[in-house]
Amino acid sequence: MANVTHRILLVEDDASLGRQIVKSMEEAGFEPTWLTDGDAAMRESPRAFALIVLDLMLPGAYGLDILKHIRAAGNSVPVLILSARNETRDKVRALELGADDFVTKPFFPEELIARIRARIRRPSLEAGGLVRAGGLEVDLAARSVKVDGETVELTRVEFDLLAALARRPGAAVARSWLADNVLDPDREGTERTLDVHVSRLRRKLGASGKCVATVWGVGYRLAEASE
Amino acid sequence: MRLRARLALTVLAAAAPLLAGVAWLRGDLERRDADRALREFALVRMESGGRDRCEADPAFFAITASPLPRAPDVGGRPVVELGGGSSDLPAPLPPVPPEGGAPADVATGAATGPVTQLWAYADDLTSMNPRAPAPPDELVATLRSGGDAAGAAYVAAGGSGRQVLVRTPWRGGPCAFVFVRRIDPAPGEFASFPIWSAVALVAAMVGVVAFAAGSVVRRIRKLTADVGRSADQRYASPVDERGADEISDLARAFNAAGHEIRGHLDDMARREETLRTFLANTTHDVMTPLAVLQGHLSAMRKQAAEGRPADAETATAAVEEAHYLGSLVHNLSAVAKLDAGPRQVHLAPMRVDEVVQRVVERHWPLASPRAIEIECAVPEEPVWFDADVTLFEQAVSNVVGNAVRYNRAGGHVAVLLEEPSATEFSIRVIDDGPGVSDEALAKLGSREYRTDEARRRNPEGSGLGLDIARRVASFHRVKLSFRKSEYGGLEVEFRGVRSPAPRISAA
Repeated sequence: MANVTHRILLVEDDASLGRQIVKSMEEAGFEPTWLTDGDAAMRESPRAFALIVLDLMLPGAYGLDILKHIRAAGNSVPVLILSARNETRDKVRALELGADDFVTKPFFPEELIARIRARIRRPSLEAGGLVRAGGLEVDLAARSVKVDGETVELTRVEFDLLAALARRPGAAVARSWLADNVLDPDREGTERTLDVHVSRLRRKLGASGKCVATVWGVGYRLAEASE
Repeated sequence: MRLRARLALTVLAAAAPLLAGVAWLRGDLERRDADRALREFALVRMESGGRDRCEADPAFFAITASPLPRAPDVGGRPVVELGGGSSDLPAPLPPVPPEGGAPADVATGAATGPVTQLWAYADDLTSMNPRAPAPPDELVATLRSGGDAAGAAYVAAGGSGRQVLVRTPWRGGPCAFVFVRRIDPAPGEFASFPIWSAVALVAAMVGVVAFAAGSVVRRIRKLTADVGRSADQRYASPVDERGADEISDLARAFNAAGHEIRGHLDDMARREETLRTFLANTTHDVMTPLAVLQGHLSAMRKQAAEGRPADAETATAAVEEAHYLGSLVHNLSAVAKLDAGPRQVHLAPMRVDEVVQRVVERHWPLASPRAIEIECAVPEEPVWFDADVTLFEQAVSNVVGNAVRYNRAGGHVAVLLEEPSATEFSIRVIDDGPGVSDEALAKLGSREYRTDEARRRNPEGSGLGLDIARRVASFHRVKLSFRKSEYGGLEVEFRGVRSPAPRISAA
């Protein structure tokens, strides 16, 4: 997955902003196609793209009409709305029409790229299955863990802990959530107990133990994760 | 058309067919009376000697009488017989006009009053008298079908009137039928209608209606004047709505509409004022950071022109200033929205987890140059809350922005979305920055900053941004609390009651 170049359709009429976004996307490893008017976007086939970044105020067709057109055709490609009008009604309408996210202008390119990455990654995460992080391989369906190809025996709590992180690779999971959802609340439902289990898990994973990273003030995350 | 004129026209429109009906009825009754009088006249004259004379000398039998007998007093009026009258010898008769024509004496003006003529006919409706006119076919047909008498109008150049064909009781001989005709040289007696009385009656009705409508018209004029005055005062004063009739109902309806319009006008005025203030404040507040940003960009351009790389400190400051500018404009917009009142706030189901992620991602560019780590965690399942997403996101963004902006280099900010109970959500923004004193903490928790005061940028970062966070939290019934974090910095918590997931997921 890491080597796949994702094609992104950018529909933005402002030349300066468009150039900036295209440059940021290219630097981030995406392959952007940039259109500057709504009518051209209407003619474009959304199936060719992994994600669409759509400005609302466009010459030609209006942004939300393009979104409606895409969804009416049954296409579920993630659509990220760019809007200069920080209006709640626009956002609510966009979400109702099937937008996945919105970024309000002004924004820094890093923010936009992060949002694009999060949206592109999401479907594969929801698919479940196998998750890899460094030398670590977590098979969520088979409830098995391998480090550098060798199976590692984990307790139920340790596996559930690792699986909770693996289901959302890269995202931090709160200690409170892990304590409430992974530990047995009758016997060991405290965050301190959680830390003990994490320490044991890291030890069992050996060098890959560092993939279970501590996130300051938050909890833990599965770092360097890829499917 | 004015109300009075309309009412008068209505009276006329109603009176015209009524009067026409009365006139027709009256004419019909008069015609029947006239026909009956003629029939009785004919029978009386025939029975009182006329039959004998007729049968004795049918070739010359005819009776002409004037003036006309009237129905109620037939026989009571003097009758002058010109021919076949009291004398047994037939007097020379004036020439009888052909069918449809008037008798010669009438036509020539020998008789100036009404004249009645009578002729006799045999059973086959032929007369022995060559001067007798042929009765009209319609009368003949009526009698042939069994009637005893039939009447019709008579119209000729010399006059008009009625003509009646009568079957005599003896039904035989040369006088089995009698045809009697009354001619009025001055037409109109029968058809006369009291035109002037009718006109006077209608005029009186119109007058009464106009008089009766006067009070209604006066009240309507007063209401019109009141409405005009109220509109001039931008609907501040209501119109007089005393009374219990339709005009009072109209006045009440106007007051209700005026109240509604007043509300809209007030709302518009408030929004206009808010917009003016917003523009003035925005212009003022934006110019300073914009000037700072220009300064940083100018410095970097100078460094580039001299072939030096832009120093990281200036670039970071420029990024911070741009970030500050963006949030400032959003904050001013939020203040405008809050000041404009609840009508401008748009509540809809919102995903709190997405808000938290967006806010944190928005602050990466601000945090990363200063090596500040900013992280968040949200539950696996969506967390829903009914809110104005723009305002709510801005409130959270302000708290997170402060935690980043006023943290030390290399510091940390954690944003946790949790579900502390079955119904609640909690957003905790924790940092390990310098924190605040106990005194400042107490102020953060309790002090209500006035917007004007809070708008000023201050080093504690607790100005406009926190003021908005407080107002937004209060509007959404979300508890906002401040405490010292376990890491030495500040911990700010938004705690509210979750909403059920909408039936059709928006995301």
